[in-house]
Amino acid sequence: MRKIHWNTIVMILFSVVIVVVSILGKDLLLQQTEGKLLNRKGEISMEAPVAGWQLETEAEPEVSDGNTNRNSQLTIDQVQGALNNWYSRQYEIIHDPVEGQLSIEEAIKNATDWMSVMRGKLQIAEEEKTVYSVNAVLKVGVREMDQKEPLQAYHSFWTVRLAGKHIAANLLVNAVTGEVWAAELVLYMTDTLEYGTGNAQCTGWNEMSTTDTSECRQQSLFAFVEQIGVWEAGDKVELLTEKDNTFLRGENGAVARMQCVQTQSPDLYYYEYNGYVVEKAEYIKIVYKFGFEE
Amino acid sequence: MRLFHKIFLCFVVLFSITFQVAGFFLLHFAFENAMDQEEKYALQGYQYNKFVLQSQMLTETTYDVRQFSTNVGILRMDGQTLFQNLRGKKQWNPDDKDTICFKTYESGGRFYFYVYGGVKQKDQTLYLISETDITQIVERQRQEQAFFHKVFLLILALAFPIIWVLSKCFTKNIELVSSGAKQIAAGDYSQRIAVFGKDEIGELAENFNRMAHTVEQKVHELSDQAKAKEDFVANFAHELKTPMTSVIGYADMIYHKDLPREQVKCAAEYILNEALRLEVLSQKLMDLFVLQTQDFTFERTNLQEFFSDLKDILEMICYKRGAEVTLEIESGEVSLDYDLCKAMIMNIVDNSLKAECRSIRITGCCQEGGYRLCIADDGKGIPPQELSRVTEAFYMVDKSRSRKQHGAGLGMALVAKIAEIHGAELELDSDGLTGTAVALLFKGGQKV
Repeated sequence: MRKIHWNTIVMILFSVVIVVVSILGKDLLLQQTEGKLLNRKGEISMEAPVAGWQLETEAEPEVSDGNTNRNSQLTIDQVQGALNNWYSRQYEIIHDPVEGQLSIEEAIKNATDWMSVMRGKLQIAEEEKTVYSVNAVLKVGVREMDQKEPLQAYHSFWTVRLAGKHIAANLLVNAVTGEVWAAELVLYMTDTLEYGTGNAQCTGWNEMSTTDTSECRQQSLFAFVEQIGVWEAGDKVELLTEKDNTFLRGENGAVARMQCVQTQSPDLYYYEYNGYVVEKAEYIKIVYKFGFEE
Repeated sequence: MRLFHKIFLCFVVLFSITFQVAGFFLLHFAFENAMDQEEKYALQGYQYNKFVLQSQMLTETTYDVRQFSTNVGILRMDGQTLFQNLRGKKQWNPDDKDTICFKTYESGGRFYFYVYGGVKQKDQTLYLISETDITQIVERQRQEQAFFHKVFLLILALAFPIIWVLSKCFTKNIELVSSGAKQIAAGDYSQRIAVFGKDEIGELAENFNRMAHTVEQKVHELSDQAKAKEDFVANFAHELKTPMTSVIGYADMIYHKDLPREQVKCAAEYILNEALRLEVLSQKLMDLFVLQTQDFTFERTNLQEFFSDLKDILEMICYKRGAEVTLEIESGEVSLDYDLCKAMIMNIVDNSLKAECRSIRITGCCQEGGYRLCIADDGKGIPPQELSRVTEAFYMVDKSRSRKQHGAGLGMALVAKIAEIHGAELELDSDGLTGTAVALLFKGGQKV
């Protein structure tokens, strides 16, 4: 065989060696770096993405109906900013309360108090007061996961979930004011009922006429708004009704909405927290939402 | 190792290293990123679980596994397990209730990320361990690695023949140049390299071809010169031998035989003629050699004045041979060596007289490109096919006639050499019947 052919064979073998060595080298390096990453351990310092909050006025917060009302702490602009930030969030970061924010006890207390008020307004049966499960988590909405500038403390919200035998609620409680700015209630109906006929057992609506039911809903909306305290006495407030929705619109652009629908597929948390799986069950889903006109 | 092998190996080395380094950074970055992301989610999961636990501690409800977002372990600070559904590390020893720690752990081929720390509520402190299964990320990393190997090998399988062909293409022209050079080195100067393209190798091939052409020309020139020298020596020997044979023959005859006075005179005349011829031969040869070695000094000379000096001699020579000469020379200056130029004119006139002419007409005028001097005769002329050879040394159109007239065949060779020294163009024109015209164009000649 000619020398050139030997050289070609040697060259091909050498090329194969280079290829194999390069693959093995890369794999070895990857293995080492992977090993380092998989053997990491250490301490974590949880940095809150919000700054501490200092009350500007020395005035004691008003107390009404046993509810810690801090509505005087935030201006309308701050409330609007906090709501806009929450509704336009891309991610939620769970964090510990900072200075000026409600503790978990306060948040749960505010939520259960709010529920007590609303139960009365919605005429929910007494037996539904029993709460089996409570879960409160403090979150702040962010546009990017790596939030660089800390947000204001009033941007945070406690999401408090309460679940009973025939009721589940998910409340959005502002971490500074303690006010419930949005809520979702799911009422489980023991019988399959047609919504609006007035025979829903748990609400006591079955004993009411349609007009009374509507009145009841409006009253609950007023109660929802009253607890936020965004409108003062004498402010012009407009009441609107549209299908399942009832609106309250004030002069300052604030809008409160209540939606009441009968459904077969509410949010799953009702099942999760009560453990009941009821096929073909009917639910009434009531949503309260506070916001501002764009 | 040949250049092709080197190029191929370089390609393979560069390709493999680049691909693998890029792959390493890509895979490492992706894995690190995924781990960081998973760490963030795990921390968020821990925070969530912490709030769930705090909520349950507050309401004093039983620990409901469904409330937690991940698998958890709940321990008292003394190490007693209250609840746990951990899959990986099951034995935990609460040590520090104030710090939140994390660690990764492998168990049964699965990987877990743990975040753990103390949770205080009311007067109670519990130890919460939040477990996140990150096996999927590790498996995805392995899958990506395996996929990367496949892609690398696939690309390599495709790239190998391409690299092979490219290396061949790059070295093909070099091989052509090499084989061409080999043939030229073996003596085949007519060989040329056929290389396409305008790259460096194309340029090299072009220059190589140019060099081969020059070498071939030079070789031809040298071989022509060698042949000319051989011819010159052969002619010289012949021209020397012919009179010597006559001289020896007649001298021998006179020496050995008692000849009458008339025959002795006749033999002596032959010997004298041949000796004269030899003298002319040696004189002209001497001139020819001198012309090749000597340096000359040129002066601007008016040809009208030059020929007025020469006129008497020319008329006398022509008269002796029964011919007449007419001169029509315009005034004009050229750079010339007087003696050389005179010798050149005398040689041309001598040739005309040897061609048995009756009249010689010498004209000179300035024209575009220089001064043109023409010497035309009405002698026997030169056949047109022999015009190109009359300037060769020892070439004679009519040998017998030339020898009779003591010609050595060197006259026109001398004329051509002197014209070359003066940078003049020599033109010969004849139909072989009605005479010959010899024209000399002196470049740089100016009218005065």
